[in-house]
Amino acid sequence: MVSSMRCWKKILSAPALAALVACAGPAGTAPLRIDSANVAQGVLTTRLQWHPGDAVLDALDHGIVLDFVLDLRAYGPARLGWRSTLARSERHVQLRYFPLSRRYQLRDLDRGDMRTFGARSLLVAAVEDLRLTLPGSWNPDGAASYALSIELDRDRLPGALRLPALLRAEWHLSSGDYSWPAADAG
Amino acid sequence: MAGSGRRLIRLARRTLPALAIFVLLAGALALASDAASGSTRLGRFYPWLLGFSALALVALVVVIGQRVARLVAELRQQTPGARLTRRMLLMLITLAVPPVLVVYGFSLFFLNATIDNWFNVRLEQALGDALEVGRVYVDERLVAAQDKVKALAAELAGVPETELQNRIDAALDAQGSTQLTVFGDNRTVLATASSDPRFLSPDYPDAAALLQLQNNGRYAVAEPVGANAQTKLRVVMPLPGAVPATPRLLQALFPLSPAIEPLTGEIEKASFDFQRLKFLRDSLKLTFTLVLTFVLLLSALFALLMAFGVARRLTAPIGRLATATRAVGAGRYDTPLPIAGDDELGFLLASFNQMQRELELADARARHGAQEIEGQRSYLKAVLERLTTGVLALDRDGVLRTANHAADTILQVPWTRYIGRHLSAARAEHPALAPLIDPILTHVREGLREWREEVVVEQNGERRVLTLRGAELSSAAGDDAGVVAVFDDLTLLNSAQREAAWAEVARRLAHEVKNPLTPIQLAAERLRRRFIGRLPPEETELLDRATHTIVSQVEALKAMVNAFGDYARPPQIEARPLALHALVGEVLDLYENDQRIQLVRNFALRDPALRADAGRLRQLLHNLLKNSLEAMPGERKPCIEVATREIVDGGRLWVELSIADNGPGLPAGFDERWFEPYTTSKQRGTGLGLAVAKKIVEEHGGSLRAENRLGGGALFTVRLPCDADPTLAARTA
Repeated sequence: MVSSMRCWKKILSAPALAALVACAGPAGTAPLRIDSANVAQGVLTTRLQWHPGDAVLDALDHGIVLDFVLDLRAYGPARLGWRSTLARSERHVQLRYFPLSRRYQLRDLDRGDMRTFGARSLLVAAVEDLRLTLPGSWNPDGAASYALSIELDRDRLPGALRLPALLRAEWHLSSGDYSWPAADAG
Repeated sequence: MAGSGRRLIRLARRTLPALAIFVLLAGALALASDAASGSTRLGRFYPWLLGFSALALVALVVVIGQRVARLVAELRQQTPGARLTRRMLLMLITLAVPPVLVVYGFSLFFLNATIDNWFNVRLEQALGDALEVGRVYVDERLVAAQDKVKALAAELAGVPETELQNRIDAALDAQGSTQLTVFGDNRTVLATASSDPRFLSPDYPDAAALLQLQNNGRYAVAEPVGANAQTKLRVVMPLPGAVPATPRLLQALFPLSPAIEPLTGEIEKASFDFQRLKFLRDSLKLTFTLVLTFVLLLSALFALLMAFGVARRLTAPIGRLATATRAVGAGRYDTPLPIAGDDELGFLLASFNQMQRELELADARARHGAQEIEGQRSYLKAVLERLTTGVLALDRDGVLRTANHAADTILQVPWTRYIGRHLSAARAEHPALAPLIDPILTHVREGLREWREEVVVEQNGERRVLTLRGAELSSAAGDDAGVVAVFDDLTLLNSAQREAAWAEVARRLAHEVKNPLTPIQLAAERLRRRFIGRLPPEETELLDRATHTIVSQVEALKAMVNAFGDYARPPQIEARPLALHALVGEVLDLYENDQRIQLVRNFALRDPALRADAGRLRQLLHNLLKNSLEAMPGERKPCIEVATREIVDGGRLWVELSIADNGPGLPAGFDERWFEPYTTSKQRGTGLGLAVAKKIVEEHGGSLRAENRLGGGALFTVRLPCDADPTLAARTA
């Protein structure tokens, strides 16, 4: 359901994006990419490459909260080209800055875990090396492969920033699907 | 059921686009409000709204493009109402677009100015200063916390692990900390105490903290902690005396002062909100500009679409009216217009329908009237054509409008050639008709209502007496319709009346006068026989002269009575084929011996063949020859020329027998009446010679005319119809 909504959103916003986003210039290298990922013992470990744009970093320093959604799926063995989804889990990670303490915070919104950093680079580094504890309901037994995607949740941005974020490429932080075989598959 | 379904569909087609546009506009306004408030409540609807708005814009542009194309096509085809639609559309656009653009421009300007005014420099400075004050306070509290932790670490140095928990518990309140924890090797918690249930589980310092601890010997930061991100002071120090390989770390969390913490939180929030708004200023402007532009475009295009609909709705009845007007102009009244409503346009359409019905009725009446008029005209024409009276109808300007067949016959003029032309044209081409035309034109000019007179027309040697009557034509409405002139040929009528009168006189003469003449003559002769010789010579001579006079006058009276008898005798001709030249020759031979006259025969080469009564023709020739001889008693050498010739007139063959003399010619005032009895210029003539001659000619279907010769003398011409067979005369001979 969530996936189909996103699909429709993309379709519906396509005319506007086609007409307006083009003015944002070339997208260049992907600003968010998954280099590796692993699920072991109920913990998701992933290594990313994140090159946030100046506007994104500036927004973070000015109190804009950045929410990321990690969509983890476990697939069963492929049969006739069709893979069944055995388990799925969405994890939400939040980045924000506190001016009084001058600390950056990385927070697992689902578990409430948080880490603070005195420098933005440390925050970015922490994002690039994420370890998230999966919920107890996560049961990928029999999974043959996993897929993970990370995306900036633009719907959580402030209203004033939403349209520019929709129109500007540097706000389109989406890794796309990263798939890997399950370690015990096979 | 189907009708209600169609109505529902029509209603949906009309209302749904407007409703969709309204929803889009309301959604855009809601999102604009959401954007202004900084809320993320409607965040997921942004792409939907943007997509739907873009689709709506595209749909509106496509629909408007179709309408424009259709309008252009209608303009090219000159469809009724298309130009009016274009004019109304331009008018509506002209009225609507400038205010919309002005409002749009002012709105943008107002929004930008308002957003810029939010960020007051002094306010920003004040908030920045307040934040800095908060930071200074936090830093001071952090220094104090370090001192406390340092002192506590010194106290805890060398304390066995079993005592640590007690010492920590005791120090918690003394330090005023939220949490105190001693970590051992491998992140183990050797002792921990917390005054806040939310901080029962201590967090081991992360790598950055440990690195800083290793470098600086302590780690002290203020950081947001907990779900509500309360600012806590975290201080981490190694316990003195600990073996480096198995270090012990003392971590303390200190709260800010309960009196100060809300204030610092508010300062941080206010400052940060301001900074966030400042950062979002351009985005907010862009969002408002985009939303406003979308709203403007949607509103303007929808208004344009509505303008199309309104213009079409307004002009459609006018277009139908124009089409119906053309149909009415072409004489078709079968296009009633649907009444659009009860407004002025509806009243106009209703009036048009009523006018159409009345026109249809009027047209039917006019057609019926035209048929009646045509019938009457045909009837009148038939009557006119059958009239023996000539009729000429003219307008007030003297232009001929109508002439009947009798007019052609009487005047021998094809009057249809002159219909639509002034009557003077006929007069110019037929001068002989001047006695008829001139009085008509004169009376038309004078405007006489009625007149009557008798005119004489001499045409082709014939003298016609016409009674001319005229009357002004007036229509029932009193309009001047011109003049009608009516004329009758009285020539034949007069002649016939006079002939009848003379015939009566002749019969009375023959009956009343001739009978006593014989006894008178016998009595006179008896007186002569008895008394001549018995009376004295003087008386005998007197008696002889008297009786001689009586006898001679009685003879003269008898001759006159016989002549009248001939004249009065009913036409009893015995027409037979005869050779005219032979018959004329026989008569002329009787006069050939008279040495006093000279006879000239000038016959045609071919003897005309005709059927006639030979005796009557002989009498005709005698009368004419005698008339010529008696007309020139004083001539020394009277000469009479008798000639014949054949002519074709009116598609018929005629023979003309002319008797010309070299006498004094016809008397002055010679006309048709000279052919009536007892009209003569001679002293002793009976006046019946020409009358009888004319009667004989007319009994044979011919005509007799008299005229003066150019070289002097009179010329009488007898025209007799020839027999159809030209060889008849030859056979008779």
